[in-house]
Amino acid sequence: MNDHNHNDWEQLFEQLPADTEVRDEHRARLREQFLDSFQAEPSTAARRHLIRDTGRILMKYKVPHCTAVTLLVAGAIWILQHSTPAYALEQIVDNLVKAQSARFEMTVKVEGLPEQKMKAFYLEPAHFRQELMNGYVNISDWNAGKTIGLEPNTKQATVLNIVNIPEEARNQQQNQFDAIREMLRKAASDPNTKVETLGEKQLDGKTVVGFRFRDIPMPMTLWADPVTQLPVRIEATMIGPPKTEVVMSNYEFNVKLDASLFSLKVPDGYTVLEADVDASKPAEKDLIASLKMCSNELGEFPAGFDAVAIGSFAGKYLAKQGLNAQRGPTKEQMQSVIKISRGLQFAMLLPAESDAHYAGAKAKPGDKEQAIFWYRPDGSTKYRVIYADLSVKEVDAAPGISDAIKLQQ
Amino acid sequence: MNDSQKTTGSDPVGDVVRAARTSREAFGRLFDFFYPPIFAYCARRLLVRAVAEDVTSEVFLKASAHFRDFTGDSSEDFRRWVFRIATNEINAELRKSIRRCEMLEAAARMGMVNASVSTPLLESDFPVDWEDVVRALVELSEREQSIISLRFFAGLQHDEIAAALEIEPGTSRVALTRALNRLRDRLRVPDNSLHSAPRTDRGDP
Repeated sequence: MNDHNHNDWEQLFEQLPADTEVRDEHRARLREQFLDSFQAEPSTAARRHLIRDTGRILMKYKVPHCTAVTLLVAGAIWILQHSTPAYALEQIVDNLVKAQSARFEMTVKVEGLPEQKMKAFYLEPAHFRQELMNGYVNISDWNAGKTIGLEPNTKQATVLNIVNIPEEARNQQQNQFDAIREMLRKAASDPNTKVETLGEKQLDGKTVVGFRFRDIPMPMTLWADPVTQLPVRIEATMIGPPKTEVVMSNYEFNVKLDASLFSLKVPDGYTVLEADVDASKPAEKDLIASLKMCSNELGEFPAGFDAVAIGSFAGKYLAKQGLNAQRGPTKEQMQSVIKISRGLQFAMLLPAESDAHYAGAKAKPGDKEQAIFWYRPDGSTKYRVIYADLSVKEVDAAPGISDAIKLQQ
Repeated sequence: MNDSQKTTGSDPVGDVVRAARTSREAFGRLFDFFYPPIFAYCARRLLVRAVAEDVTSEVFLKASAHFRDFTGDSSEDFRRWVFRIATNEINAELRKSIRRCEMLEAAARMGMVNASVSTPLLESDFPVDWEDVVRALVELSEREQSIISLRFFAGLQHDEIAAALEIEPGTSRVALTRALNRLRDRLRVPDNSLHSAPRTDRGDP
């Protein structure tokens, strides 16, 4: 179809009764502002200024020294020629941090599991809602210490009360939106963080600028609209295991979201399963208690401590405990799984310096010679080793088990 | 702009664009030339004067801040560039639900579309009001809205739309036709099934 066939549309839109008359007061005021920002083509002084700024950016983001000089010169030319200012990053992250609400899409790909797509909604101060494609809805409010899961097909609701929240964790926002923006805020403001500028590309017909954060606990790539200076897509990778890739896209910020979306009241007609989740810092004794529950019930230890292995183990555990697939787990069954998860969390939250390892996948419960877990406590030169009989010894060197899985936060 | 235009001076606004790199006066003339069409474009897209003025301000302040990055040297180059900024700013504004609500409220006060235009367009004598049109438009994808708006609210040709949106001119033509077909389909749907969001209270008919 050519434009001739669009004449009827042209007639329609010509009649749109919009008020397009220029208001002189606005034009005059804006003209002044426009002229105030006038700068002639960069003079020698202006070029020096650009080079100085570029150097500051390079130093800030710790570009390797051997390439810094080359980039310093190239960077100054690049800034003059392109519209992707590296210094926009701080503004983009600042806009993200200041967002009071957001609506976006999430795709979560856990290695070995099917991809999950969901819509997510965030409302300050700590309301978060996720809607999965299969209808499942999860709503959390860290300040209220509660999260609810609604399964509309079976009319089942899971209510988790988060108890014993440590004082230092009370001000932390424990949902994915807050976690991501807090990580980006820290990374963007930390002079030691390496940020790679990816330049411009087209994304869904729109020009976006990219930044890659490699050396942070969760490496991320941020794509933002250079005009609005707001993120349009964030890709994050949890190294794992299992490797987990999260893509957040189609962001809409500061949108009006109805408070009812975040209601923690279970709708009428739902069967409620309620359990407490202990949010205090887990200790070694919690891990031993978990391993004991595992070995007592199933006669084996989990294959690993990652999300997939724990999920699989929890399924087997619940099946052994007589899970009713139609009605879902009982309160006691749910509480048991939460307790096991809490103990395993102790191992998963240990820092890399603790050199934590797990070797329980093939171990026979009760074997007092078989080391299944070891780590070096903070400030200690010795290792604490847990054996398959769940005894603990302190030793000078880590056990030499070749197929042990190295754990890191 | 081609070389002959540059040397013969057949693009007087292009002369202003080039002069604006070094002359404050020319910079001001550039503003004078482009303020009315940019404001009109914002006003037609956003319908609320205060919002349209705010967005127009953003457009020109961004244009001035990034003028050194602008590599064109003709009036057409600048026109495409500044409409691209405006389109991005408008789209960003319309991502805010409050802005969409304000726009629909303004559209609801605009009354009915002239039947002599809507009847042949939709091949139906069912009455259509401006709120229907604006709501159907805003429910299209951002790119479709941009193409329709650049074509009919800003009066850009396909090569200009393509440059503003960084797509091929052929893509712009095809996308415009598809977008208009989708818009027509939405307007033909009976009123109560068209709208996913509640309608605003109607103003004067």
